[in-house]
Amino acid sequence: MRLKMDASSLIYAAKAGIMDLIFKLFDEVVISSVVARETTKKRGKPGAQYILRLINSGKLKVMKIEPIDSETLGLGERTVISLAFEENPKDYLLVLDDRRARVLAGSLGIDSVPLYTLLFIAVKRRILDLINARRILFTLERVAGYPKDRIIEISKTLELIYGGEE
Amino acid sequence: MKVVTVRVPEPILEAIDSLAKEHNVDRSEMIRILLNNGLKEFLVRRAIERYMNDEVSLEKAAEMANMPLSDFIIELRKRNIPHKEDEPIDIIIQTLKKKKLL
Repeated sequence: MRLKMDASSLIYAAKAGIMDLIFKLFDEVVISSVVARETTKKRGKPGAQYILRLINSGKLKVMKIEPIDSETLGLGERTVISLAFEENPKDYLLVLDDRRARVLAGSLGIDSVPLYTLLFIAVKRRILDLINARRILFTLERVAGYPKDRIIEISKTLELIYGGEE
Repeated sequence: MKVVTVRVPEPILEAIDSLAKEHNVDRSEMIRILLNNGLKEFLVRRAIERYMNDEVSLEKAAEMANMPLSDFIIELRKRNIPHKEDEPIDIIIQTLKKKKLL
């Protein structure tokens, strides 16, 4: 299965050091050329350099595509939603870390999830144990600013999934 | 550059002149610096407000603030602006199950 990511998810994932985990979970990770440009804009910053290395090494596949129309979403989000139209929904997972973007994608019949849900998949497949999943979650809390009550809820869900109850 | 004429209250002009002296620049240059900084801050505040009101997405807000997304994210963290509320986890779990990922 392919993973399609928006720019904020990619920035958070790179900052939280979970790109290698993501490459283990999916056959291919695809971004739009707009997302590639946006996330590597600040060439002097380590995060941008890291993403650029992932692109240059072919680990991140970049696709050029026209954006969907929307006055409330950014250009990157609009192109990633366009990417989702390219193939059968069962063949990809779309990660959009902004709820407004997910609502718009949903209105077009496209399912999408926030970045932290990748931890659910990793725990389910036993690629991550609970301790490491929570460690990553707390890093994501810091870089993405997830509210405390949400973090607690995600942490409980991780535990349920790890215990086979979800 | 274009020339504009603006009426400025005396105390503000005095403060500008004082800053200009402190930074060793003339009055016009000081006004340009302050205008530039004020405009940047105004754009960021407006973008954050619209993001928090759920009128625009994070990326759109960064575009409105005229900032790279990574810088805008840092700006949100500096100002203790939390990530916007997500949908209930049950709904997200259902999406993953539908995709046979859970």
